[in-house]
Amino acid sequence: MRISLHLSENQNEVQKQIENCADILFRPLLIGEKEKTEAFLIYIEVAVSNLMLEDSVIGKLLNRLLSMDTKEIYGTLENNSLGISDTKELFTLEEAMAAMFAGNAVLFVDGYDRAIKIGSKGYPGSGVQKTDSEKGLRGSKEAFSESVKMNTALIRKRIRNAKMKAEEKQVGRYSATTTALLYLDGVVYLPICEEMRKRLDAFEVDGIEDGGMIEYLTRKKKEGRFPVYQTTERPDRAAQAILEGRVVLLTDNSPEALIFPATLNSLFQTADDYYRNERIVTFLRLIRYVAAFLALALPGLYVAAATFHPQLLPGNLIRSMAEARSGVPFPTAAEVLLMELSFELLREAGLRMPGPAGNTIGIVGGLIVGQAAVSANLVSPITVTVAALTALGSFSIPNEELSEVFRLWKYGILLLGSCFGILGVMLGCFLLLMLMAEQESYGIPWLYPYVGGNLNERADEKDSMFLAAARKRKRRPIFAKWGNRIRFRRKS
Amino acid sequence: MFGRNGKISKRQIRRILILEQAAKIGLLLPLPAQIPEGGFSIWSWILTAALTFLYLKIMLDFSKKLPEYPATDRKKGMENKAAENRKDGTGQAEIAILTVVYGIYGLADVFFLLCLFAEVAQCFLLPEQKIWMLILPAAAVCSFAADHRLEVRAKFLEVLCPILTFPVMLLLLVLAVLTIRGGQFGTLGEMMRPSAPGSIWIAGIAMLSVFAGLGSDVFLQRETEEQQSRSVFEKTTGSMLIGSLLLLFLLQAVFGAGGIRALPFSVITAMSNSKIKGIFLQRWDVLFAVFFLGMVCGALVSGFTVLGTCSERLLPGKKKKWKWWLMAAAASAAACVSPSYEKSVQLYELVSLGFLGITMLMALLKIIRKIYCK
Repeated sequence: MRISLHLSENQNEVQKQIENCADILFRPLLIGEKEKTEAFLIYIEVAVSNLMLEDSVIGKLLNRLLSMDTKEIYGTLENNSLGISDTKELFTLEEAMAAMFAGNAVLFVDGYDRAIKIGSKGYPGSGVQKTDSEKGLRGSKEAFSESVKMNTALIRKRIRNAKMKAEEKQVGRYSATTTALLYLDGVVYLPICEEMRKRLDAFEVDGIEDGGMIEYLTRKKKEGRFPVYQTTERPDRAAQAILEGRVVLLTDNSPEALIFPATLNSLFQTADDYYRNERIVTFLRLIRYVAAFLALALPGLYVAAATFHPQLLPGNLIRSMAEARSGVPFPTAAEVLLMELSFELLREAGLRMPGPAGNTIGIVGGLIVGQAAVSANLVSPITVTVAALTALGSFSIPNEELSEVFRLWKYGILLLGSCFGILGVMLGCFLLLMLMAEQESYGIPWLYPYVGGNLNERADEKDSMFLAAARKRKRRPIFAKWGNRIRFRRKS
Repeated sequence: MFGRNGKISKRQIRRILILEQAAKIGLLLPLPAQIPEGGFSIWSWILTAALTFLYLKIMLDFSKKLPEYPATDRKKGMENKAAENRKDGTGQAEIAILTVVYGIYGLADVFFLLCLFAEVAQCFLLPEQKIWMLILPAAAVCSFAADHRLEVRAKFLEVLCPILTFPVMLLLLVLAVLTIRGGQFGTLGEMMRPSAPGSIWIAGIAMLSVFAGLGSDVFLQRETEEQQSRSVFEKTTGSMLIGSLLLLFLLQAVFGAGGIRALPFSVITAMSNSKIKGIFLQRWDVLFAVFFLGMVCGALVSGFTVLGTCSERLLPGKKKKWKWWLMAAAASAAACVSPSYEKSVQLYELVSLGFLGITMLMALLKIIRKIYCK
């Protein structure tokens, strides 16, 4: 609906729409010389405070408008001759309402068939945070906040070049959540962006409360088995991804960015891998892969070895295991399952409890309950060790979504191991590997560069399980546009 | 965007070939030593190598002339100059015969591999488990893996190959270093000794059956990104043959001819001899058996694929899936009720030699007809 020249018509329509919205303020004004010209301002009370109106650019604008002739007002607004940085003319009422809901003030003036969006501080947010879930020894400690604008700025701070594009789009029928698609023009493989645009257009939903919702709504049918997006709370990691030719999706109200395409390899990388010595990073990455294997298969292997293949283990160990298990009423498989489920319970309890209490739950659960269970002969000490090692392995995986996948598969492999011994563990791993081979993330094989590594002249293998020295990693990964993959060259 | 062009890389072909052949070489190749008239000799190995290369060359040439793919699943619209090849004279009758032959071979191959899997698993890992309990999970997992497009299978086998073959090679190396004493190399002389031509032929042809699967693999050649994949086949087959010779030398040095005759799956049994001080694991043969079974599974994936593709063409009806699963179920059921592992080996050797003979005969007829037409 176009904005009318008559203020009363606009006023009626706006008031109809904001009826019973106590948080939205409607402020009638009289501006111009002798206060002849009627106007009104609408804004969200908290997003544009009254104080701001009186002591800010908006306030000063209004003060200036008070002393102008009516015709002069129209010219000033049209040409933005006061030089206010964030103003925009809006032609329809829908645009005006959307601008107001985005946290701006919107000014309507009688006899002027446009509304003026005046940028303001916006909704309250938590501000720039410190990294919490992706801690690193080196590198920036900044983490994303919950405002898409601020998050975009945090990335822009690291890539100060107009080639980095940030396309905004509103998603959600009622929430109209702002999302921003960030990429490096000329480096990104554009069909990946196009695919994301298509996926965002392919659904309609009431609201988007977090990037996680977009992650699950834009997944294809067979993409649900493993994470096809890499989530990060670190702006430096997001900037690294953009420089690699990947795409970052930011969502308003979400302190995490979605990076895509994502591969198994990229999910094992951390931001500070690139700030440290490549030898130690290689060692740490090998540890992470071993940890992932432990998180996946250790309980299954333990049950298989203890139940079906004790001959695999040294005699002394078998004896001590038998002694430790004497008096335990459950079979080994049930004992391990019990321990693993108890651990899940502890993890969930720790997560839901408020901060300090959550830590206490971990200590109480780990030490006291574990010790009590061993003393009561409910579980053997070696089972506690296996469960603890499995949990440590699970925590060592840098990506939480991937860790969750392995956590679920662990139970399947445990079941197979308790039915078919080590053979069952092998078949379970086979099945998992097959599903991994089937998976793709925006057209990139999920197991890349462990499959098809030759597609990018083996450059990606230099940043996989082993990290080559920075000067040897001359090419961008496969995500980048073909023909623009050189990222490092020595100056002659 | 990427990886959906219906083609696979040379590296993937190489790894598929290694996985398919390695398990059979390790587990089946010592069998000719158990034939009373057979026994190992370097001469029978040379005969096998020569026949394998001849077979490979004929199949590589012959596969180019075929308008359709008997054993692969290239996507629609990517057929390889079908009309052009028909003009060349390859008829539908030949295709039909070849598909039947491939189908029968696929059935025998899957049947044998499942029996082999169960036998090794029962022998080294789960002696008390019922045969069908061992066969069914393997059949389910491998047929599920095979029921994917070529590129997915290729990616799967590409990753699986180093995970399985590297530890196997490492363990074999450890075995060779720790087990064989200098004096044992004297027994290698037995392999060099000239034997009767009859026994050379019997052992040579028996060993040839191990490489029969190459015939179905050559059709993968057309799915590569580069057309020069012929050399990949030749080099990989050459490496596998050399690997098989080294393995035979190793077994001869560890057990001698008598030991190989007496022991089931001597490659795995050999690992039970190796003891590495200070290493946690005590029984390397269990671990080694698991790796070999992994390779058998890799071969099973390819076997199920051949079987499925042929069944789609041979059985009537439009729905492809049920035919695929029907044949897979039939092969698995046959393996479950198989009277003995020895019978399955005999059947496999018979069918694979028949398969070798028929495909080579067809290729020769084709070549003769071409010469006659000129």
